[in-house]
Amino acid sequence: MKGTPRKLILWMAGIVLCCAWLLTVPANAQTLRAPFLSYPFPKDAKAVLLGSWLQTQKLDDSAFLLGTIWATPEEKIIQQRKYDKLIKSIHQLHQSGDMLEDEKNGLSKVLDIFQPTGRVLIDGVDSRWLEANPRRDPKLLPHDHIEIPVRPAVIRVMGSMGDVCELTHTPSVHAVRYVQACFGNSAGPWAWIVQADGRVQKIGVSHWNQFERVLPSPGAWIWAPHQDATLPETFHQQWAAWLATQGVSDRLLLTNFPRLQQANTFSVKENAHEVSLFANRPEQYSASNWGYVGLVQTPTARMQMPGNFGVGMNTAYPQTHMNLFFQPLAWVEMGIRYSDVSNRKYGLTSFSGDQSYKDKSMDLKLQVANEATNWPAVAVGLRDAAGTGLFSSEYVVANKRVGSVDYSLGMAWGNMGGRGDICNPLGRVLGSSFDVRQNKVAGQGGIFSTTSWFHGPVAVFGGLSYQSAWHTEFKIELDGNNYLREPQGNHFPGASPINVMATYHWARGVDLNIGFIRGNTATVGISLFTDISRIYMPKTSDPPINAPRPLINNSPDWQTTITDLESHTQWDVQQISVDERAGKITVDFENAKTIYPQKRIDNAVAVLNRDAPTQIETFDFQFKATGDVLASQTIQRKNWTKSQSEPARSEEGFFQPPLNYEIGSPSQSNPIVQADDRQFTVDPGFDFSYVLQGPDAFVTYQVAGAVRTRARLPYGLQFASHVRLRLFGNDGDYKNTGSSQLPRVRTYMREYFVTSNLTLPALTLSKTSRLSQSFFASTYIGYLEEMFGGAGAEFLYRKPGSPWAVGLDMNHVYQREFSQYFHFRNYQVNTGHLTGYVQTPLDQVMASLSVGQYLAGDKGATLTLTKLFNNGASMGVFATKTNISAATFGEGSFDKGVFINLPFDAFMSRSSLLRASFNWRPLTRDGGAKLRRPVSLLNETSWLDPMVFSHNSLARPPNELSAPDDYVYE
Amino acid sequence: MTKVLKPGITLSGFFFYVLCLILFSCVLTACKSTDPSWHALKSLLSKPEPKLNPSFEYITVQFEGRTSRLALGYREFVQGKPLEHWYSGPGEMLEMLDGRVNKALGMTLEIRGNQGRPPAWESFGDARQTQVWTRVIDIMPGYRYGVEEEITTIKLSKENLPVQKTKYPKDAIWFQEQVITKDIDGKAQQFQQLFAVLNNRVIYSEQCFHENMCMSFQPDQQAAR
Repeated sequence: MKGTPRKLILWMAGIVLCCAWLLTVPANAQTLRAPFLSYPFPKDAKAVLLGSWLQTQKLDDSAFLLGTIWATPEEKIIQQRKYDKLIKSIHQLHQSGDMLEDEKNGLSKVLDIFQPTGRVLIDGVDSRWLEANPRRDPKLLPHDHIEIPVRPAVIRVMGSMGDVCELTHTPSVHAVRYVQACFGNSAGPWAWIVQADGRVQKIGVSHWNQFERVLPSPGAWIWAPHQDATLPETFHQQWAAWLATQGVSDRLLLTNFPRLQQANTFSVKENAHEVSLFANRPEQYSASNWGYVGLVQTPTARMQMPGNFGVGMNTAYPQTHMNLFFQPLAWVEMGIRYSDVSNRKYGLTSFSGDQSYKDKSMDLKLQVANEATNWPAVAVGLRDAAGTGLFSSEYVVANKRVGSVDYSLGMAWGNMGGRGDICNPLGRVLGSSFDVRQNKVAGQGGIFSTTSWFHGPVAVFGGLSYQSAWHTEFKIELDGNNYLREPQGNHFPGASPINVMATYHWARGVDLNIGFIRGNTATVGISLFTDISRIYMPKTSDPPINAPRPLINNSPDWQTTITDLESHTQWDVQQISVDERAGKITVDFENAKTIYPQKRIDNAVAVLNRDAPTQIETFDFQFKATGDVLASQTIQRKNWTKSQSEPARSEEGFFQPPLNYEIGSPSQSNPIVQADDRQFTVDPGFDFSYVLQGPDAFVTYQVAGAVRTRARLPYGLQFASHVRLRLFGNDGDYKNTGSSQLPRVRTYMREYFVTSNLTLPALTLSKTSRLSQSFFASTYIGYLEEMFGGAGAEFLYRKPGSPWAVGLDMNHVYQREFSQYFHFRNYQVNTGHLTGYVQTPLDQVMASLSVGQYLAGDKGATLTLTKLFNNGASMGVFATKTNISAATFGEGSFDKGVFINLPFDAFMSRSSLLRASFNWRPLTRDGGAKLRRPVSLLNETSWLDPMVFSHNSLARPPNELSAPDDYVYE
Repeated sequence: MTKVLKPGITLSGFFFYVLCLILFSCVLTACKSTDPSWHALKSLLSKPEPKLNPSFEYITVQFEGRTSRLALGYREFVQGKPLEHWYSGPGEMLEMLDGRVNKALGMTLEIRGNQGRPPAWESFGDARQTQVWTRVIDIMPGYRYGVEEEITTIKLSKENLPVQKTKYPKDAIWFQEQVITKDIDGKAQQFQQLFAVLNNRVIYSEQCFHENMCMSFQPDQQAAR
C-alpha cells in the first residue's frame, strides 16, 4: 500500500503533463509519417552542397529521392505570404458565390494542416549527378531542412471540398483512372497532377478532353475539382502550386484530413492496357483546302496555338489555293490566300499572256466560346472578307469532341452557303433585308462589304474528323457550297456535297492531304506550319562562354576584353572605365539593340568576371543611343556569380537588377580604353526583292548583291549607305507598268526594279538627340529610300518605362529617278504623321495610330496592331484609310496588310542582331503610302520599353529536347 | 518545252512553290526531326569529336550512327562489382553497375532508379544456360516509376556468337538478354540486349532504354582492364 500514493502522484503528474502538452499543441498539429531521413541544419552548421551531403548519408532503395524536400527560411517567408493570399482568396470566392460553403470549409481545414514548409523545388536528386551540375546543386545553409521520404506506395486525390481519397500507386495506370476511381461521374473536366517533385501538370479527365497520357508518380497529389465546382482557373493553379509545397502526398497520415473519400478499387489486370482510355488528339489541328483550320472545304471552330504560322498549297481542279495563315491570339485566326483558277484567264492575252486567273483574299476567324463539358467550341468567321469578294462567305460553326472524333456543325452565308437550303434566321430577327445578298464584286475589291455580310440564304455544313493512331486524320463533311453556281461561270454539274480527305501528319509541321471533293474531283495538298513564338535554336556556332569563375588577374589586357565583349554581345563598346575606389567597372555600349538583351548582358558579365581585377565588385553597363545613356544596369559581381553557380534559395529566383533610367552625372572614373569614335562598318550581303501576282508572272523576283555601310561621325552624326548590284532574276519579264489616278509614288515599281543593275537605294546622314529625359529628336537628309530623297525630322515623347509614347515626323521629299542614282523626278511633297503608340493590356498587343499626310498628298490614318511574343517574334495587321475614294485608290480600295517579324537569333545557330521581316499587302497602290524613314526613334529608344526583357528572351528548348527536369508543363 | 502539270501551273512552277514552302518551313522549324527517340541523347551524341585527355578513361557510346565519349568520374566496387560513373561535357551522367546501365541522368530520357539483382556473369556455367530475373526501374520523362521488367539472360555458345563481332577477343563470353517490359500505356514491349564479358568485365554491350532506343557501350581498353 505504501506505493499507492506515489503511484497516484505519478499518474496525476502524468495526466497534468499530458494536458499541458495538449494545450501547447496547436489545433492544426500534423501527424507525419516517419520519413526516411529528416535533417534540420543547426544554426552553426557549415555550408555544404546537397550532392556532397547526400554522399555522407546511408541511402537505400526505400529512400524516395524524387520527393525530397529542401526547405529554406527564405522560401518559408514567401510561402507565408502565399498562404495568407490563399486564405484571403478562399473567403473572397465564397463571398462572391464562386465557392460553395462545403468547399470553403473543407479547403480551409486542409489549409490548417498544410502550413508553409519552405520547400524549394530541386532537380534530379542524385549525389553523383549533382556534383557534375553545380548550378543545380543546392547549397545547404544553417536553418535549412532536408527531408527524404520513404518511397510511397500510394497516390492521393483531393476534391474541391478538401475530400481526400487514397489509392495504391500502380505503374502504367494513368492519372485519369485514379480520378474516376475516387470521384466517378462527379469529377470535373480538369485535374491537376502534383508530382512528388512538385511539378504540376493540368490534364483533361472528360470524354472530350482526355488526351494527356500522364502517370502520377508514387506520392503524387491529384487536385480534381468536382463537376459542380465553379472555382476560377487561377485558384486551381494556386491550389495545385500549394500542394506542391507539401511534399509527397502521404507525408501526413490520412487521419489528418477532415474529410475522407472511399475509392472504388480497380485491378491491375483491368488496367494493364490503358490505350483505350485516351482519345487520339491530332498533334496540331489540320488546315482545310482554304487554309483555315477545318475539314475539307469547310471551317471548324478549332484554333491553332498562338504564334502559329502556316503556309499551304492545295489544289482541286480548277482551283489551287496558296494559303498563309496566322494565329496571333488564341481566339483569332487570320489568313491571306492566293487562288489560281486554271480554266480562266488573268486578263486579255495582250495584257497578261496565258497566265491563269489569280485572286487574293483575306480571312478572319474568331473563337467566341471555348469547349466545355456541355458546350461546344464556337467560332464566327469571314472568308474572302477584303478581296474581290469572289469567294466571300460568312459562317458560324460549333465543334464538340467525343473521344477521337471531332464533330462540327455550322451554317454559312455567301459562297460557302451557296446551296441555300434554309432561310436566313437573321432575316426573322433583324429584318427581311437579311434575306437578300448582293452578289457583286464590290467596287475595286478589297473593301469590307459589311452590307452583304450574313445576308442571303444559308446552307448548313458540318462533318467530323477522326484522329487515328497512325498519324492520319480522316475527314468527311457536308459542304454548303453550290458547285452548280460557282463564280466566273465555273459550274460543275452532278457534283455531290460530300467531301472526304485524309491528312497525314508526315512530320511535325508538315501535313499531306489527299481527298475527293464534289464527289468527283481529286484534291491534294501540303501544309507547313510552325509556332514562331517557340522557335528555338541552340547557339552552337557562338564562341564558347567563359567559365563563371574569376581568375586572379590585376593587369588585364583590356583590348582583348573589348574584343570579347563585342563578339559575345554584338554591341559596340564605346569605352571601359574603372573606378578602383568604388570597385566598379563601367562599360558604355553603343548600338546596343535590344534583341535578347538578358542573354547579351550575361555574356558581358561573364567576360568581365573573367578579366576584371579581384577588387572589382560591381559592373555597370550603360546603354547608349540618341547620343545619350538611355538606361543602365548595375550588377553585383558576387550575386551574379552565385546565380551562375547554384540554384536560387526560393522559387522567386535570383534578384534581377532593374534597369535604371535616371541620367546621372558623367562618371568620374577614368576611361581606360576608348573605341575609335569614327567607327566604320561594312556589311556585305544579298537582297531578295519580289513582286507577287503581277500580270506578267505570279512571282517576279530579283536577287542582288548588297553592301551596307555605316559610320559614326563627329558631333553625333551617323552616315549610312546601301549599294545594290543586280545578280539574277526573272524581272526581265516584268512589263506591266501599272496605272494610277494619284501621283505615282509607289506604282512605278517596275521602273525602279528594272531600270538599272547598279543602284543606290540609300545614302543618308542623320543625327539623333535626347532633348530631355523623355523628349527625343532626330533629323536626317539624303536619299532616304529607293523612291524618295529629301530631309525630315522626328520628335518622340517617351517616358522611360512607360507603356505609351507619342511621335511626330515631318518630311519634305522628292521622288528619285528610276535608276536610283543622284537625280530627282519632278515630284515633291510634304509628308508626316502624328503617331501614338500604346501597349494594350490585351494579351501583349501593341497598337499604334498614325494620322497625317501620305506621299501622294492624301490625308488619313493608319492603324497597326502588333502581337508581341516573348521570344521577340511578332505578327500583326495594318490598315490605312485616307481621304481618297475607293475608285481613286484603285484595286484594293484601301491599303492594308499583315506582317511577321522574327529575330534571326531565334532560328540561327549564331547570335545576330538582325531581324527577318515578312510584309504582305494585297496590292501596292499609291494611296496611303508612307515614307520609309532611315531613323525610327521608337526603335532607337527601345531600352525605355518596360517589356524590354520580358518580350525579348530566347525561347526555351522544346520538352522533347530537354532533360525531364527542364520540362515546362502548360 | 515546259512540262505542263495541269492547266495554269507548270511543273517547274509547282516544284518552285513546293521548294519555297519546304525551305521556308525548314527555316522556321529548324528542320527538326520529330521522332522522340532520335532526340533522346541527342545533346549527348551530336557533339563534334572532342580532344581526349589521355589521363582520363572513356566509354564510347554509339546511338543511331552517332558517337560520343563519356569520361570516367568514379569507380568503386559494390559487393565486388564495379560501380562506375561516366560524365559528358554538358553534365549528363551514366551510372553503370557491372557493365549494365543502372542510372542515366541529365538526358532527354532518364533512368532515375533501378532495383534489381542481375545474376553475376560468373554465375553462368555452361553455354546456353539461362537465368530469368526481374528489375524495377524508374523512368523519366513521364514519371514512369516502378516499371517491372522481366529479363532472360542467356549465355551464348561459341556457335551462336553474334555475327560481325569478330573484332572482340576470341575468349570473350557473350550474353544475350531478352527484356520484357511495358510502355507508358501498359502495353507489353520487348527488346534484346547483348554483352561481351572478358575476365568478368563487360568490354562491349548493346543496351536499350526502351524498344526504339538502343545504343552500344564500349569502355576504352584501359577502362575494360
